[in-house]
Amino acid sequence: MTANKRSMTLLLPALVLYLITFTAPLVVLLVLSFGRFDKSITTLGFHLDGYIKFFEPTYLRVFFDTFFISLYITFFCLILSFPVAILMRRVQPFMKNIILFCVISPLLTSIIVRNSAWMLVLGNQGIINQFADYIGLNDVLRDMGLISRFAGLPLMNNVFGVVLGTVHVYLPFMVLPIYASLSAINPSIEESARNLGASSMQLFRNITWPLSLPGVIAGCTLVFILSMGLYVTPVIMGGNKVVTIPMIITGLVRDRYNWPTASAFSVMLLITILFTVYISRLLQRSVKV
Amino acid sequence: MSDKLAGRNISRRKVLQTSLVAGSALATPYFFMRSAKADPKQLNIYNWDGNLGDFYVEHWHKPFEEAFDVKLNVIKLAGSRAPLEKVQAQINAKRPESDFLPLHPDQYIYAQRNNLLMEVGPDMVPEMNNLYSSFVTPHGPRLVLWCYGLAYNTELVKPAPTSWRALWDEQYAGRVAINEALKDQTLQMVNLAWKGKAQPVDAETFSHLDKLKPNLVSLWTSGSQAEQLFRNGEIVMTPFWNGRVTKLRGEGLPLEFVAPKEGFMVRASLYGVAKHAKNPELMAQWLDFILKPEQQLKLVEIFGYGSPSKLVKYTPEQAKAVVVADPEVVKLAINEDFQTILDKSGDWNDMWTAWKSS
Repeated sequence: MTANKRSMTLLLPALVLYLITFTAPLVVLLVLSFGRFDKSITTLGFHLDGYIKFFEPTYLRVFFDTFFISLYITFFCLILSFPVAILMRRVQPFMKNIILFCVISPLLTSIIVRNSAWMLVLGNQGIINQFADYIGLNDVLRDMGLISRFAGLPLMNNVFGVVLGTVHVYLPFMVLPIYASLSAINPSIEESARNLGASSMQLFRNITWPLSLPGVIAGCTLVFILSMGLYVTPVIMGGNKVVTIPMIITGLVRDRYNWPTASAFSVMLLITILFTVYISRLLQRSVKV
Repeated sequence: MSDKLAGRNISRRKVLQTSLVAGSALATPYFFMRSAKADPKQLNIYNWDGNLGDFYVEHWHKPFEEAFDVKLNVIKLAGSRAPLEKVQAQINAKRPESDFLPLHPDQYIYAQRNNLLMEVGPDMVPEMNNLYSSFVTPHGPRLVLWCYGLAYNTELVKPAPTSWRALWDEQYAGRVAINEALKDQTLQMVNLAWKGKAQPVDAETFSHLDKLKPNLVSLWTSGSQAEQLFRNGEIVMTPFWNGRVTKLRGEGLPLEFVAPKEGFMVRASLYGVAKHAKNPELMAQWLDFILKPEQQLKLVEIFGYGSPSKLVKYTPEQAKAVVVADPEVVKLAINEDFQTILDKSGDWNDMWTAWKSS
């Protein structure tokens, strides 16, 4: 018996907690997902009603909407995070800490406060629209029939608002893994490439980007998985008009008390996330540096 | 450290022992909670969020605590509905977190079907004898008469609307919101506007909602969210509850409430007692206290929500605010079929989701 195996004993309390608070509810969820909800009464058994409903065109559409919104968020997080991570690697520690603080600061605020603050910026009466009114831009757009009499620039209550509000807060989950990967690159490799005449573009394409891929994959996986669970931001920043699967699940439980269908939808969401993790692992193996 | 560890062996018995100890430690609070007897001087009670919740605390909870030397432990509700999905699980486990269950009419039917309520009659709550008979149920009183009509900004919406169809007016595109907190009210509202009757909800209902889409800035999910939309100037008009309008007018907002000519909705919530409640007697005492005319009048004065008590008399101003005091307006109130609302909610929800995501 090795020391490592013995040290595993330390994990036991956490393991028990995990079993009680995670595994057990998951089993309940799975059992309920095969239940049936009829005339306000839930019965257990082996029914596929909830799963069949998930594959109805309406809900499949919502699923793919959620999927693509998550992809948009992941994409924009990636293109915004990469330059930040490169900058963090290059600057002095003091400056790096300031950037790091700025990046993680959205996580220090409540999601409601954060989204409400965005409303003050992006709303019909928000700062941007007031400025657009002031310079006459909104009047021009109204004359052209692009926006209505009272409305301003459509900056929220749509997918754009949801993506912006989410990217803002999920940036740290992308910046930090990429920064970790970039920090692991031996500077002498880049110096050698430069000495051999590589341009900045060639350096990025052939060295920085490939060597940062483990961080990119980890960041993308994290952000994508988190985005698949979006609820509050679509309600506030999407004006509740952008629908995601977690919103459907919440509605099923909160308004209709339909646990079996909500559980089936949750299981499907879980399967999607597990599949994402599996793909991520395959990619990680293929780019092993 | 690792050397020390290396000297010890880990056996299956040790693993089981450690798991047992950890499991017992985690489960201890549960057994304490089960065995703990209810304090007869304490009442766990749900309360609304926002201004209405503040009103309850200030005008109904504190005076009750002082008058009866008891303590009310408030559990704040998120949104406009009691979390029946959670409550049901708690009642099945014989441990409801709140003795008080405020239920919307459709929730009341659900609660009856699933046996979630105690029977509460005038023997427990004597003030129920002073209520109009339609507000007395076997499970307690129905109170807080809330009307669902059209709220609008009097400075920006001219002429004053008299019909639900004003929401579809294209001059208000991008400045109108509808209620998703209670979808059934929205769907019936659309039907009233275009079919002249609340039911049935069908493809035609949603075709009218399609036409409303360009006007919509938001689908609000709680009364406080709709209030905020008015305060921020994001919307000029929405179907809303009269009490919230009275409150916003009190804040100085130029708002008015109108009962549209096609018909409007008047509802009252059941104030029930959860089955297996810890202190049903104290709960009944609280219900009796809030049903007294002086307590009911406070709700009328501040929120404009009507009272089911025969003993409550309104001033002309209060009568206007409560809406239902005017017999001519009451004629416009529709009879809602809550059995259908509950049983069709699944289908309506599917259609609603399809509409929203289209």
